[in-house]
Amino acid sequence: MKALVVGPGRIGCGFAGEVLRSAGYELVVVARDPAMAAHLNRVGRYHVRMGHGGLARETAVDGVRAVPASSTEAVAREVATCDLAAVAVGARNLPAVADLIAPGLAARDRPVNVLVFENEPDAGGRLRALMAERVRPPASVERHGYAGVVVTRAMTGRLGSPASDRPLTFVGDFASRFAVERRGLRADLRPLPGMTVTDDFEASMHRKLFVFSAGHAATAYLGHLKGYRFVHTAIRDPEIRAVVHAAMREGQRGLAARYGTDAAGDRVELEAIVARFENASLADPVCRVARDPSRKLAATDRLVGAARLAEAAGVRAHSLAFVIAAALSFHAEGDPSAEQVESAMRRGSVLGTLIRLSGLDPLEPLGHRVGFAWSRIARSRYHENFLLSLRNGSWAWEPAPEATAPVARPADTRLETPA
Amino acid sequence: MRIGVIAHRRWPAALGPLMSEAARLLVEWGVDVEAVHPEESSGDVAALGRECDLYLLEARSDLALSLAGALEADDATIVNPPAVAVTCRDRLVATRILQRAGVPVPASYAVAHAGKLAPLLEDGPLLVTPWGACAGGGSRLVRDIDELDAMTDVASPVFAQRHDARDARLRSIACVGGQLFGVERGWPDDEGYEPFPLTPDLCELALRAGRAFGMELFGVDLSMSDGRPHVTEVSSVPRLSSVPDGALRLADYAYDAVRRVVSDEPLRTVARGAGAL
Amino acid sequence: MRIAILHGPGSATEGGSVIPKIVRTLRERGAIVELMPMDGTLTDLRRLQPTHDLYVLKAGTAAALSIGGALHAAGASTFNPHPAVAAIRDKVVAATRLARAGVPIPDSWCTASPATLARALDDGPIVVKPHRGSQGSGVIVVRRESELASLASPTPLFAQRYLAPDGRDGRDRKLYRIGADVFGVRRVWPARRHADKLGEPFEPSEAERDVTVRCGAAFGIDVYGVDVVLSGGRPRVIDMSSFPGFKGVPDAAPRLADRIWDAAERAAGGGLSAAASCSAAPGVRDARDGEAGSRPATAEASR
Repeated sequence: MKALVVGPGRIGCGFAGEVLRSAGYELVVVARDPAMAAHLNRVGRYHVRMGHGGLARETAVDGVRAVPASSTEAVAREVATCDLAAVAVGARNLPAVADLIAPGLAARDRPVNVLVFENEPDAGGRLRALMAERVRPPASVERHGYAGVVVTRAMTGRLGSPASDRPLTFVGDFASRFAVERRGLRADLRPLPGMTVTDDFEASMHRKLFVFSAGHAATAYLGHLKGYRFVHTAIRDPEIRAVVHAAMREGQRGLAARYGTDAAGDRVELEAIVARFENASLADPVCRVARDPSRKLAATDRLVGAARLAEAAGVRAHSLAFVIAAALSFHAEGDPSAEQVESAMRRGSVLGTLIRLSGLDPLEPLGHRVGFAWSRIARSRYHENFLLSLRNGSWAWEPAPEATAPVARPADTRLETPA
Repeated sequence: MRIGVIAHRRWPAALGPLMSEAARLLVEWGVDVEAVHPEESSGDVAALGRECDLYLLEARSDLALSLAGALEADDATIVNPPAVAVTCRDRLVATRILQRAGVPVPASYAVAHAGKLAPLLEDGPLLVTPWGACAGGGSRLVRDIDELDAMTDVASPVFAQRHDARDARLRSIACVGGQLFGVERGWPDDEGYEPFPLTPDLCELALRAGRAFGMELFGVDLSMSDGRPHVTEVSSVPRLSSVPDGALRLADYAYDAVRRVVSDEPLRTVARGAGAL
Repeated sequence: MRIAILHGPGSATEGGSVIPKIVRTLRERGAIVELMPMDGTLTDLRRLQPTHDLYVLKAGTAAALSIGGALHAAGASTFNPHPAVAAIRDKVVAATRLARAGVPIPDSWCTASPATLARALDDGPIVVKPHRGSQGSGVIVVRRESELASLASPTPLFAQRYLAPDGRDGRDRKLYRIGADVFGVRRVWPARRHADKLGEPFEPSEAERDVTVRCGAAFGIDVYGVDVVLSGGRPRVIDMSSFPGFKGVPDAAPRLADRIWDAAERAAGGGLSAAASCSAAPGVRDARDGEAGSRPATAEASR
């Protein structure tokens, strides 16, 4: 049996590849970076290291070969002959993936399932639509399965270099369960270790996004505000822990109202999630989790999506609003997304930025809440400053009374009412 | 990963409260933490081998600095290196380094014994500190000849700095990996420190002082004179007990540092808060 | 060329000291030589500026070391370089560095509590010294545990195994290095007469030369003195000094003046700085190199 994995990253190799290999599939990895393809062909394997506390396990994933994405004919041949495909490239790269795999899928005799490992409730449906746009007749690709997958494992990093002859090591925690969208499947799917096939994929994805991912992002953005280096450090800060807990609870309440209490999870689950954030063996930097804030502030993503769902359920999402404000203040050199947010904040107001980035309705109370939260942290929000206390908003340093304008401050902290 | 904390025993615990809390966090995070008490070592110089990936040098006694120097000779990575700690402790050398780095310092003097300071009292009070490798004890404010004559118990030689009588606050800035925290108390009588917000010029002053010694983990004491801040002392051990979440921040820094050492990455980081002002 | 010599009280004028002759030789060559007595006069740190091309660190007191350190920190060139002088003065650090450089030294201990040395006495007498002493002061041979109680000191104690010297002449063997040359002087200890201090010269063996040169390599210097004991046929180094008296070394003053002149010339031409001269010595970190990073040079060795 052969499985094709598109995207040799932390999820593609560190999770999907490991699961598929353990189920007996031979792995063929499609890599955009020719050096990565060459490395995998040269070494033939990689490692996955899972750890938490004093426990660690390292698994060798062997029997791996790779095809560079630029070798379109070779890719098409592999796609046409695989027994299962997995895509893990980042949701914004799905159009490029569609271009890549469409010829091979169109040429297949038998239907195949493409498992789409992206943090989007309808990633499977979106890929299906992208395929149909690219191939005539669309039926030649619509007969295949495009099923979203929600993964619980936190994969935080990769050790090693493709330039070396030593196997790469992907680092993550022990979580191994994943849910596959039944509605998107077309062909038979052999059972895989840790897999659940669900009829309520949207609920599963939102539960992961609006609780775990929201909490993870909250820990990172608040940790960054207070100057911590790692997620496992930030979550130890009592103030951060409290806001993270409250933000995830707001997410759960929104989910419960939409999907039912069983789908939302309970307080016990929150404690389990916080325990995962305490996992120091991941040594997960705050800046890694916080990066790309413009994507994380999108309307349906983990923060704004969770907050809007909560507000729709009558929950005042103060904690999520505070985290959103913290995300708006995130600064990282060399992060174009963070620079985009910062630029938007400099030119406009908080609400204006949220309207642009998150599609927020100006009449939504969430905008007002975020604006209020922003006003508490904006006063001394300089790149190199950090909060000593979330509660009283005290910063490590304050501008002198005669100081000129700070480095990054929105033009106006008042809420704008668009014409 | 293994961190050694070179510290004096704080009976009954092995370490002081803040360092103990930081150590507890590090242990939870999978780092072995060992308290190294110089006064309890066997003293066998040949047995002084590097056993930890990183050492934090908290104790600054002669013995601790010598033993740390011996560990460093065995390729141990020590924060801060004993040569730097010795330099900070030597007020004469430290003041000269600060001056050279352009850090404002009070007018400073060094004499073989306190009595030679008498002529200087005509221009105002002095802060007098025992100085030199065998010195201990804090500074004393000397305002007149009588107070000078009473200093019979102060070890010689001494280091003295001009003190502005109008300055009634003792301010200190702690730096942990480039992050700066201000604490202050009333002086000379108050006991407890409280946080105070720094200003950009104080941040720049502290960072410049730290850069002059190559330190990322340090403390500076400040005095005000004619409305301008001056650095009176640099310490290779920052005062963190009054810093909010001080133990957590120290553990955060130490975890990053030991991870870097084990990964052969540069120890020196330019964390947020450092150098960008 | 301007040269300053930091010296202890009296040593610039006493008859047997090498300093007056060094000063005369340097002045005859045209150098301006200033003597800076380390006698505790008031030092205004604002005036502690590097006004000379070279500062010779002859005085061995803690205060003098501080002044030298301050000058070094102010950018002055020092001879020997201050970081090396400071490291040699700390006997624990010196013992460790010498051992790592392959120099045979006696078993050594450092402790704040004399009582901990009792175990060491099980195997024979020990020699106890202040761990940052100089000029042989405060050195005591301890044979019995009952003698430990009298050693209480506010500063740590440094102890070494007492090594009975081969032969019966009971004399110290002092080896002095000046540049490429190594000189040996046998001397009675403790010296009671001036003649005792002069001692008698001897030709160092190959082993003694090798050991002496290794000592310098450990600190990156080539002017210094070491005390050795021949025990079991092997020279063992029991002490090192960064600028000893060089008594008994033929033509010591002009030889030393040569080295000092060369160092001052390089410093005046910008070719010698204290940092540059000690960078060749592994592990002798210059605390003045604030911008160079906090990891000691020795950590470059593979882990």
